[in-house]
Amino acid sequence: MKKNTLHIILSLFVILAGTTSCLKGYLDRAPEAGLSDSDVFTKYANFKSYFYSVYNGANFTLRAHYPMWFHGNNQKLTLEALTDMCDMSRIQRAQPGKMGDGSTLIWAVGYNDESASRTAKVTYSWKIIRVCNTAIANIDRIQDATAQEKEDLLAQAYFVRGYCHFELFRLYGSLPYIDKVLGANDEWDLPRLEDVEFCKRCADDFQTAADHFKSAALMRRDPVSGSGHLAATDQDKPNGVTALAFKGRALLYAASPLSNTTNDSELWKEAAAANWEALNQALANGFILLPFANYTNNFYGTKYTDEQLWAYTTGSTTNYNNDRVQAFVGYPFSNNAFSSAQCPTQNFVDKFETKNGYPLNTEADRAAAVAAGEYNEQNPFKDRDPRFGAVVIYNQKDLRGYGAASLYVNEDGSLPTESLLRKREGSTDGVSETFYYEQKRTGNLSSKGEQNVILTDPIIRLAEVYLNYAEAVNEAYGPSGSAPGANLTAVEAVNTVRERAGMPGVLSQYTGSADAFRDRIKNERAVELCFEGYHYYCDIRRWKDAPAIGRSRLYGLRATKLSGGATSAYPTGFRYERFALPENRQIAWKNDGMYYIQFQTSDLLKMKNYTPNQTW
Amino acid sequence: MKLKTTLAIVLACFLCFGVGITAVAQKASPVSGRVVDSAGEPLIGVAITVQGASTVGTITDLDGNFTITAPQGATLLFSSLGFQDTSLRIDGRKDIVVVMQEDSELLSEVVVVGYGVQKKESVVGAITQVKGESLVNSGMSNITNAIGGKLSGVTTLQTSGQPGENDAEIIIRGVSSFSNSAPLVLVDGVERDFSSIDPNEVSNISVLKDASATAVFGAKGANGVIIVTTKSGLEGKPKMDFSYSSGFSSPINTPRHVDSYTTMSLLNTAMMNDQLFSSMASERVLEEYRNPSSALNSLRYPDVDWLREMTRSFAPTINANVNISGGTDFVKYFTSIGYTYEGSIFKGYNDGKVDSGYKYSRVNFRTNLDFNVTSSTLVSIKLGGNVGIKNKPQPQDGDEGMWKYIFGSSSAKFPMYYPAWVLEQVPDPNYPLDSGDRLISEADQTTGNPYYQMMKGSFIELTDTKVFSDLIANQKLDFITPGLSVQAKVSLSTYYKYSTLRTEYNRPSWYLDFTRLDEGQNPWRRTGDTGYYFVPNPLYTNADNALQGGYYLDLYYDASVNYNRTFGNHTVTGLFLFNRQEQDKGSDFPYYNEALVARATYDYGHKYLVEVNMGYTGSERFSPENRFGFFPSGAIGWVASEEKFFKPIKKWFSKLKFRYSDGLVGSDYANNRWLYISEFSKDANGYIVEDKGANQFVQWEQARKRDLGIEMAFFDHALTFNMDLFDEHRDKMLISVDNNTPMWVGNTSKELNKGEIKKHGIELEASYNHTVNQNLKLFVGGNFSFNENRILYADDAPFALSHQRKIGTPLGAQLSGVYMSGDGYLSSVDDIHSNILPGSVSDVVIGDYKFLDYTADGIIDRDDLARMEGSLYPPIAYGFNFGAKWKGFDLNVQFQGYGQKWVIYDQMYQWEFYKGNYRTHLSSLDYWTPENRDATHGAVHYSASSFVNMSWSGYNESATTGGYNAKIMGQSWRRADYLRLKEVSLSYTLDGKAVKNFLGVKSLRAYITGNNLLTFTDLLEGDPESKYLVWGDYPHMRTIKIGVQIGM
Repeated sequence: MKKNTLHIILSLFVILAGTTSCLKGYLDRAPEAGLSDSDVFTKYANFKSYFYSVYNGANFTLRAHYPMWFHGNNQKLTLEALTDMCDMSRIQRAQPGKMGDGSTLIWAVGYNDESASRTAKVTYSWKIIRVCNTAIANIDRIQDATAQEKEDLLAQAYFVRGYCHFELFRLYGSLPYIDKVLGANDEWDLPRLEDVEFCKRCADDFQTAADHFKSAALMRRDPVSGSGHLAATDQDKPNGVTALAFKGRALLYAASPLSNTTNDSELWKEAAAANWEALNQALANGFILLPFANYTNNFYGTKYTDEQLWAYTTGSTTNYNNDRVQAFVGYPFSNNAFSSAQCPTQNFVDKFETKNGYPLNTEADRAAAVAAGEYNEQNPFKDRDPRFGAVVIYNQKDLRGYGAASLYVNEDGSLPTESLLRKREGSTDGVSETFYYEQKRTGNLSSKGEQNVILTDPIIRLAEVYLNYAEAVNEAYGPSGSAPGANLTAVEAVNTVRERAGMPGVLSQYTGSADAFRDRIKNERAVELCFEGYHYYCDIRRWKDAPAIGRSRLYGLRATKLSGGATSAYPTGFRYERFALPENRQIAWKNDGMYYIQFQTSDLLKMKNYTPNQTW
Repeated sequence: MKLKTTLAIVLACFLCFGVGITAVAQKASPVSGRVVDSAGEPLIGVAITVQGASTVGTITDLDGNFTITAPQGATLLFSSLGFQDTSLRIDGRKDIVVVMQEDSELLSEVVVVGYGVQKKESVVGAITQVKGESLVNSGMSNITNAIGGKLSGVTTLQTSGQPGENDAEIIIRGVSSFSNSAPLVLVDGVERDFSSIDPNEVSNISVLKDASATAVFGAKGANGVIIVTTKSGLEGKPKMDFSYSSGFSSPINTPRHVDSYTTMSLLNTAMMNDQLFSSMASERVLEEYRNPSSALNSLRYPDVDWLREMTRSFAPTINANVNISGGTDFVKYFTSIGYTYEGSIFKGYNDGKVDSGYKYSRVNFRTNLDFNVTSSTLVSIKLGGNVGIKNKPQPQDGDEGMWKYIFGSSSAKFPMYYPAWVLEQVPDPNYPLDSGDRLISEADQTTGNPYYQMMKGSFIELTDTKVFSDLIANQKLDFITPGLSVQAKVSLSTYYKYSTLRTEYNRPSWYLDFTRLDEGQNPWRRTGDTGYYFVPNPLYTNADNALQGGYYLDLYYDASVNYNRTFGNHTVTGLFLFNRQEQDKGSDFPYYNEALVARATYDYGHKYLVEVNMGYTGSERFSPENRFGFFPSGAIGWVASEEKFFKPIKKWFSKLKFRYSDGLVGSDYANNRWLYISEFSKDANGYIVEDKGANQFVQWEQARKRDLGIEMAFFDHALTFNMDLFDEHRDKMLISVDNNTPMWVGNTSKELNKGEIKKHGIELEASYNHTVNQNLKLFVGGNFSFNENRILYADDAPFALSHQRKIGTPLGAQLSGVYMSGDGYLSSVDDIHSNILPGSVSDVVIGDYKFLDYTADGIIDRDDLARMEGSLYPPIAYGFNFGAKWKGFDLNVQFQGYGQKWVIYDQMYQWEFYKGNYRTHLSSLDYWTPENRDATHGAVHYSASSFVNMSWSGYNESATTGGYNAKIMGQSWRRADYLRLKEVSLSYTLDGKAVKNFLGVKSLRAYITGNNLLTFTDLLEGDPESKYLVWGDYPHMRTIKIGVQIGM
């Protein structure tokens, strides 16, 4: 009996112990099972490691949005290649898009998430926005950071959230604005906002970011002068001036014709004010327009400059064969069959004025310049805007490693031995069809020139802020007006940028009215900001100029070496002839769907309240 | 006799750590007698007591004899499991013969239910059972296959015949979940793997199907539960059983070989269709394939039937078991050792050290002991397990590679090997001393030489050890209130899987370049040969990382209170149980579960039955607020045949029972763990990232199940008929919703409770036993089940095309299929120009498939993919058996079949010259020509790099190569109904005095069994039991065994 009692007690004890401890977390996740929510958000180092994945993580990064190129399977492309600015030497992915086949771009621009290429702008952006929202929601949980460190993180989170939304907007149009972490029970099915509202939401985030940057004393990240200048370890992160400049950019887009459908001049005024604030703060914090001698430092050769409000440098390991530069450097410079160079069109070359400021855009412009003795079509590269030499490789240009660039044909149609227009035998390599190559982004980087050049993406630089300001002021207050409280007119702003390049002010016949000046501003933006990301691609869309451009003809400039040498009619010994590019290299505007890139079908199928962009 | 007892004791002692057993002392007595069954056979172990004197008792010996001291005029009570209790007044007799009647109902009297047993009569849940004996007699050594066809509502699909890897996939009442439809499997009440258990150890297998039976398993029971109960000893003299069987297996339903001449002729047809005229084989070459002009040319233009040439006709198989059982009033014991060997049909390489053949041997052991520690305390120790050793070659592309090679390699490109005589005709100047056969490793575009892969010497030996141990203590608390007891149980299950031996041994291989031979150069090349040396890799034993993924340790414990009491006509039972489970699976963090279980039953006179079950189970997957799920169920039963009004017809209508159950069961299964929290990890660059978004509201998925059962028996239970109608509505199913997650959510989320399906079905069982006379008994039985389900909510994108949605289709349905239009083929040039083509006109020839433009948008693209009829899981399953007993002979025949079964008939089966390989299958020979308009295959094509040479625009958004990467209704998605003669067993048993006197054993049974003897199917080639016929698998086996069983 005693034994029995013992059994009973034991059994009951087991049952009791079991039931009571039921609720005491037997089923809780053990801490050693991995990083928990609180591990991540209470420790500053972990929080930073979580948030900084947006810049340098392995799975998705913000760099998808930094300017420039897309991985179109075995051919890289840029969005400038979808405009009249340039022709891609190989006809593969870019050209169908240029002619209205949007399907080829969907993947290359928005979804390509191969880790090496990182141009999945759509998927990465939303992931990054989620990280930002998570960071904003959890910032107060950090236990071991200073107030300034928290302000910095918060500022960056707001900035990056705005940045990703805005960059998506530029390419895809208005979307829902995601300002919280969407969980299992939240409404996921969201409608798109009006364009203006969307841009203003971006601008709000940029302003909030700027305020927090200011509290963190991070209007710029590096000391203005002295040791360590431009060498701060976090120089690749945005700062307060970046945020203000982006606010200006966002409001400029809001005011532009594509979004500002009622031509509400208030929007231009807001843009003018925001850009004035950005300009003012940039100058106050020591940002400058570099002297023209150092102009190309903004793009290569130097990690960071005082002109860049925010930039990302890929460092000095870059060589002429990597994925990154293949969209810029043509086969003859890289020996790489996958290369596809950006080859400026004659349409674009005509945007470079003469050195005395005579425009050459139209037949009439050129006739006027010829009459004024400013231009000779048979010696076309002489006495041009100095920026021309920094951007375009043209016939006989002195090219490191190559001597005078051999971009011509002989009179019998044959190519000279060292020709940069020669294809490899039996290959599908692309060479320039326009007789030009582009070198703004890569300088003399090539198989025969310099190797291991430092390349930098200038995400936003001071020159753009001047031009943004000028454009907004011109629309709101006229060419000679200025933003309230500002001491700079639209014309002065444009001329500041020109002056640095050694160009005279805009000729007075173009500064009389907002309409006349508008064209010069557009031209100035195309010249100053060309091949830096997709300014031009987005600009011609927001101006609604894209349809007309899409219906124009694209030209090259054939150079023929004359066996007779130089004559008075042909002072260079070459004959230059404009010619229309072949039909398969022309541009087209199919319909207004082409204002925006499309989302992948599988994404569209999910979005009930979202009105999709018109199919190209 | 004495020896046997001693042996039994020694064995039992050995196996249960020296626990001693005392033999029963017998007393001499004036009354003696013999107990026999209705056939006159002696009954052993019959318990005999004197009425009114419970302390006096004995049991019958091996010959059915007993002696007992009893007063004159006393009544003796005889009882034995499986027989009706019998009483007899002595009336002064000294020598009596008692005939006990078998009680077929009592035989299956007890039904194993969740956490207990119930009397069959009072069961109200939907439960079917199969006895261990029937598994043993099936001849199959893998019990997952042995149960096939025997249990209504249970589908078993075996996909491979590979030794040691031939488990069947089991589902109960059809597929029921998006993520996992596997039932919960318990061995002796604990979640365990049962596939490698020796059928000889199994007492019975109980399958719980409805909510009433499974609610106690709460969030683990929704897919049904299989409970395997191992044997325990019965009180009585030691009984020893020895069995040995041996036999042969041979492959069935393998893909059919197409000879090289036919292959090359077909290749020419394909080349012509694709305008590759310069690549065609010449008539001379074709003729050489048909009839080689020289011995050397028979190697240059070979015809290799890889499977046939690499295999023997038969693989040996062996089963042996010895078990001893018995017991005293202190201890009951059952102990068993079994051995199973499954050999290979393949000729592997074996040099005594390296053995690349397929084989599997397994040793099973089990000892179950029940100690009556006190009159009210029962302590049980169960220790069982098995060690399986599996040997297999290591082909280049992993396990599946071998089947890719065997069923995919060209019959026309290279011979199996170069026989030694080749060196006489073609000497090798580089290796002049080399002699003997030379292996060929030459591979064509997709596949290697399977013979080389098998013979190169790379192999692995895997040892798989499972040990199950249980300690159970049961204390009766009758002194508190009669019928009350408590029980506690601790179980430990360990699984270790080691690679014990392996090598990447590569024997040298060669290539004979006939082109160089023609040019007079040395044609021999030793492949992979850089330094003209050959150093074999060492044989590794217990190499690094030898511990395989399957390792885990599973600790389970429970404690329960039981109550079971009868007051007159009222029988009440109750159960309250708490359990916990901790599973350590390899390197994962342990998995935890816990549960509270309660059950109450009430039975009024075996007439009115009520049962209430409840499971309250917790899972680590859910947040503390939602962690525990409550799963109630209830059932009622009415045994109409027990009513007074039934009496008049009860003579022939022996039983009529209705039962109905309704309740909730759940499932916590999801691919992710801790669904309520986001997990973070470090990415490759060292940054912290959120892996998947949390679902903080997550809960278990729940299934409401209803079941109406009718049980009938006629003519004193000779004819029985059972029917179950059931339905199930499962919602809050855990599914991933990636197709519904808009991009701006910014991450994928862990599973949400969104899926929903419904299901219904019917199950029928019938059996008829007919006793012609004492010597001849006949029986026939069968079962039929049908179930179908429909998805009510799945992760369909809101704007998905209606014909591509999962909603409204059954689980397992194929949604990416295409239909052919008209008569299916482009039958004329006009047809080509008047139909919408998947490619351009130049790609197409007469005889190509004519696809249905489902969306009628003028292009054949991915939008035309549509849902196809049928599902991978057959809705109709049936089995039937019949047999006879005549004198010592016993015949049993079991059929199993499935209806509306479909298979994926892919790539190697349906597409000729896959990736340019000179190989085709029987199914492609039936290609369309103007003379063969009823063809089951389109015009043949040749493509060196991809699928057939017709692009299907945009099937895959990022794909750069096209091809019909879609299932074509009736072609690459084929009907595979079948009926299989699964088992035939015939035995002859000798027992009684003669055997005992002559052989010294109690009984001797000789038997022959056959499995998978016949398959009736319309499927052209391949085994219809498979689900995916893609590259092929180790073939299914037909097995015939002869055995002997000796009872002592």
